[in-house]
Amino acid sequence: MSAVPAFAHPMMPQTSHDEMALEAFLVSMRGHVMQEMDPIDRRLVNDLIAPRFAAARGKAATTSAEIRGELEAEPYHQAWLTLQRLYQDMLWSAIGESVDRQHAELDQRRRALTAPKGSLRLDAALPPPRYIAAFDHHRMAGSYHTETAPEDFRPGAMYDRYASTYHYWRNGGWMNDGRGHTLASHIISSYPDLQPRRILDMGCAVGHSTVALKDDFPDAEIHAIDVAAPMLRYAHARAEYMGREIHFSQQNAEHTNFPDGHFDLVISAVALHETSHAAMRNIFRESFRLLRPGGVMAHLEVPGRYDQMGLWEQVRVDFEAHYNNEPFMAGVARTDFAKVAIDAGFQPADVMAGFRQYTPAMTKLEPTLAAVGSPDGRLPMGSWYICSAVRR
Amino acid sequence: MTAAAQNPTLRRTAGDHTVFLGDPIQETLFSMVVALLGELSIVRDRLDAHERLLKSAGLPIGPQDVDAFAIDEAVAQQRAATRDRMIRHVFRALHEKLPPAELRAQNESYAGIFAEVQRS
Repeated sequence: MSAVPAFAHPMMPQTSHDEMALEAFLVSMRGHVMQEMDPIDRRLVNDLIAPRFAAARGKAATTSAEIRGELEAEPYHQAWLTLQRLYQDMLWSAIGESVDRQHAELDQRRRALTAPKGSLRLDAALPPPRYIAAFDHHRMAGSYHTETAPEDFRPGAMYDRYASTYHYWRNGGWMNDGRGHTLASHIISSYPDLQPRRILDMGCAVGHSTVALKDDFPDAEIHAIDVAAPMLRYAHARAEYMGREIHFSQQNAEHTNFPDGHFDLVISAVALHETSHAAMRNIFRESFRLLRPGGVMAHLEVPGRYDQMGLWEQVRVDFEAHYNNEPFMAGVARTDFAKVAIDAGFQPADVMAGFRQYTPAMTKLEPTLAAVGSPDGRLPMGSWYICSAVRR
Repeated sequence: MTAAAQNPTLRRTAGDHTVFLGDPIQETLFSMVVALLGELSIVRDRLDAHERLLKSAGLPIGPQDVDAFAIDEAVAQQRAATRDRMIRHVFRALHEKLPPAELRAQNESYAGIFAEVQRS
């Protein structure tokens, strides 16, 4: 854990002494659960529940769904579930309070930007899709789109702080740009001849990965889209205060208003798992449409793949889907990304899917993706799953 | 306007609200204990700031000194260690009571030895 931070950027909500103390407590508590309880919970699944299941039914359980009922009847697992969820709820509550305390000051700062390098184009007529509007993603009250003040940015401010803390500050500290640099590393490693002049970040949220791409491809024109206006208002102000020229617009990645072949590079970073099965297919099709011949699509996602996960690892992902309001998380872990890309119009020989080692800065690596993720499997920072393709 | 809309404390996150711990009262108690631990953790960090400020200044200090108190990486790590110890203390009961018997190192049942010492 780092010390009380200086401003990461002038839009970032800061913490009072006590606010940082509470966040640090929650990080420590989560660490305690991961280090002390995860191994016991895993033994509960593998050494008790799974053998019991096999003895009773004459066959081994291969999916977490088969053992879920028995597992959730165990007090130890019930406590584990409660602590996982408490961490989320308490963290959002703590960050919400902190943001509300400084909302007026942050709003003033946002409005003080008068000569932007980049741009912000909102569309009040664009409805949030059901997979955004129908529930509060990862238990953030109001999710991405709810506004509680005129020209609100509150969800963006909350998300910026949450994302850093949630990753133990290991996705690039307060910049939270590690995934963006990992995508850039993948591009220069697998597509070294691509000189992207125009890049699109789909589902950009507050621009964590977008800023990384601007830094790694400084000559490119960077566009970033999201369905939620409050996220985009915050993202625009954040980028401006960081001196990065990015063009934000409120659009749905399933169907944008950019012309055919408008981009050299289309990416997304951990956005797909917050959409839906149908939306993901549309996003891949839209990516194909938006690429000029020779252009590249690269979608980065959380590394869990069901075919590589043991029973307990599936249970861990199930928590996200069933109880952390990320319903598509389990689905995306089972989806054949390469097949979705081929169905979207890419040629099989031009599609790759696999794991890329996390890089905090853009790094030239091997050209192929790894078939297996981080050997630990559980460490979210070890590797990310990427599906990329060239449009012919 | 519904009662829920009027009173913000009645609004809650849209989505899942499964009761994990058998009944809502148990779940509430458990959650309140963890929240209490969070509050105590804040107090410990403030005390830590007081102690370090007193030591370095040798003067009476007030809340504003703590509010302005900035810590470096070394202090953050010491606090993290103290915090981990506190969490271990409070969570001790969970680790003691909840893992199933089959996962423990010692499986001997007390009922067994209890009955044994009664037999002469």
